[in-house]
Amino acid sequence: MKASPPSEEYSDNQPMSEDYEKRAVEFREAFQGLRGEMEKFLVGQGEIIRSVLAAFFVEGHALLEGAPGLGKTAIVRTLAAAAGLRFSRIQFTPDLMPSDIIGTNLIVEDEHGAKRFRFEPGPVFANIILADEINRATPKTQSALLEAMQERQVTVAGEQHLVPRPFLVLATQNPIEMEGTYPLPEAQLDRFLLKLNVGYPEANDLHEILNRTTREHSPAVSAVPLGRLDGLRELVRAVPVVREVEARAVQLVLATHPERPESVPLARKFVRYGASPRGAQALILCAKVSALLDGRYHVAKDDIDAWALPALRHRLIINFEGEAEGVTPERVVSEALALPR
Amino acid sequence: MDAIVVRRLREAQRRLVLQQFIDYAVPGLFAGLAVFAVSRIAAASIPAAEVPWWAAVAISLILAALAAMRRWRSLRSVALELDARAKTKDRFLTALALPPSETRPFLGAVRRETSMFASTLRPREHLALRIPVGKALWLLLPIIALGLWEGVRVWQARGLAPELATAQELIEQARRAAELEADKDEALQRIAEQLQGAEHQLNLSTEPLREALRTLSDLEQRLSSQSSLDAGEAGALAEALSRNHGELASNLRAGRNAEAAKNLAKLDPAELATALEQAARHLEARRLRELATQSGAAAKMQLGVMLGSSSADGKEGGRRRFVAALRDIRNGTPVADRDPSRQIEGAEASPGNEKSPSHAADNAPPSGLPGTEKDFGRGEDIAQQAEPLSSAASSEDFVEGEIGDGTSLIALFRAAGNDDPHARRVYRNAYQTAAPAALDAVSREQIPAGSRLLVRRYFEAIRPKE
Repeated sequence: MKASPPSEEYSDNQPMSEDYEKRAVEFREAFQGLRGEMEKFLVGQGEIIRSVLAAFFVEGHALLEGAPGLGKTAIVRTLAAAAGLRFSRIQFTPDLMPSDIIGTNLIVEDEHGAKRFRFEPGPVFANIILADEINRATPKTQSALLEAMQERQVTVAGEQHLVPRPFLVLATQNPIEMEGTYPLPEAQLDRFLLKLNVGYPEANDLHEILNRTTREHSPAVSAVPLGRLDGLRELVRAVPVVREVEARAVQLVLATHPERPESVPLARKFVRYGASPRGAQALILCAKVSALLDGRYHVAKDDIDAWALPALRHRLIINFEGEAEGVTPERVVSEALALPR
Repeated sequence: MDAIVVRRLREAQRRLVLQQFIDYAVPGLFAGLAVFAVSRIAAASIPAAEVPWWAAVAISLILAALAAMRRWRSLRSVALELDARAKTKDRFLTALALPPSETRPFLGAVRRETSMFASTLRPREHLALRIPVGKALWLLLPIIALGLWEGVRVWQARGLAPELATAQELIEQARRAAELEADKDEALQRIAEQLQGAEHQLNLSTEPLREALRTLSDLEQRLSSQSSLDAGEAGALAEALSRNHGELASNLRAGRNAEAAKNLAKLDPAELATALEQAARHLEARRLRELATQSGAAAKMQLGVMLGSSSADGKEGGRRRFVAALRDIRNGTPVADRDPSRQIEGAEASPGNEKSPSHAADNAPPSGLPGTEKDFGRGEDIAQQAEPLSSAASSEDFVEGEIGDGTSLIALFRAAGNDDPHARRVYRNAYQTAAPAALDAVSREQIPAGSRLLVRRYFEAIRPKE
């Protein structure tokens, strides 16, 4: 519910916080600007774009799962173009080596003929990384990305190299082809802030896609001035959450733990491991983005509920019975969402 | 906390309490009416179990109000409800939970935004009162049950109408009887008051026993005054005797009681009993019937006394004689110790002897002073000369001559101390009439124990021999 104009009863005797309100406006404008640019090229993926942008502003990483050709790569490329950031694409294959991702030390000879090692950065040294079909690489290669995702640095030959800021990994995986793939380990999945299921576009959207991509002139994406991106990210984290609202995130996370008394029946029966604390962090951070976008300066329970599926679905591990019964993490999370607030 | 937010929350709180009261009042009234219906039904066998309807309803409503206020006593719960109903995105909950002491700029922005929002919100629009009509229908159940129960009772009452009328009639009769008993109680109350006065005198007088006995003699006098034969009874008796005893009948009709008494003394006891029975049947007179059931001699004696009492000028004398007899008893003067010539009546009395010593002794001063053994209740004659009772100037009219084989009542009382069984029986009757009433009055009133004991001891002293 949007706030209506204040009535005569309202008196502005509160401490002025116009600076924050201006910055909130800037945030909304930046967000909507990026979204607008991306939607010039992408059709029918509004919710995915919104989620990717949320991950972008809270410095999280997103895992996009969907069939080939649904625009996963286009989303990432468009974001990089709209944000004016350096983009890097890594196609994960079974023979991809860690050094292919993070870089390696090369022996180089200087003008005096002396030889020395020089670090040659890999594709991970970019602002926005597209890890395409990440489940096709071996776990060794996948884990090479872990340090960069979590620590924002890579270590080569004992030497640490910081990745540039901002740093966003957007990985894609194909859920259809399972042969020759290496499902991501739980620890690595947990490092993704959100897992987004990219769905098939509706008929109208498909028409629009054809309209935009089969003409002589494809729409061009222009960069949006973001100003101080760090400032916007700080603004998001400054949004207050009262304990009663925060309790909703805790409630949802604990509801997925089978050993907890707060768990829902489906979790008690079919879940092996529940969501980690990173899940609660993801819920609160994304909810803050939603609050700012909604013109509020506080988080509501509705904001948290809205992010429950993308933030928690990849953090649940269904047990064998659940797999056999066809129980999905989404069902468990939906049951948790049905809990009274 | 922002004042506007608090104001809105209070407004919502009142609204929620009212709605909650309505929600609770329906089941509360249901329970109250159910309790009332059950108590009403149970009251048929246990009258104390009935609960007034207003009490059941009032208690239900009070409990509902208290429960509603308790449910929404905290603003936090109100904020939660208001946020949920008005879809405020937890603005009120956030405004309520913000730390008041913290002054971070972003918190200021939050307060500003929530306050602006609260100023535009009207809780009334989101918390509309609703009547739980579906639940309210349940209230009909106890009402219908109660109506059925009352209907059955009314129907049963119609069937019992004759019995009810009979019962009401019986109650009315009982009420009348109670009123009659109340009249008797009043008479006893008067006696008790007299006894209380006597006791008072008993405490003040130097001769307590004498004064008390005086009062008792007055009481006996009053009782004896009721024994006169009235005109109806005399007429009925004359009618019964007219066939075989014309003279007696004519004397009775003419009011010549002295002559009638003489004739009566000569009458056969069996005939007298028959005549009394006829007269009693004719007149429905209880006294005559009682006389008829007595022995012939006793009946004759009693009738003689009654005739003497009912004579125009002999009423006072009869009472005096009765009192004198009581005084004799009171003074403990045995009949045998007395001078026979002083006996005022009886078979030994000389009829028509105007100078009878007994008559002279009745009025002879100073021995005739009230309270003395010579006092026969004629205090007014103390200053006068001794005057024969049978003289023309005297107001007394003794039954002269022989009135029968038996003795007079006074003589009987005088002889009661001896071994005459008949005298003792009559005396016992007189004692049994006066003593219980007096003792009962004494025991019921607030009388000092010593004085009460004195009265009892007096009655013990004059108790007839077994």
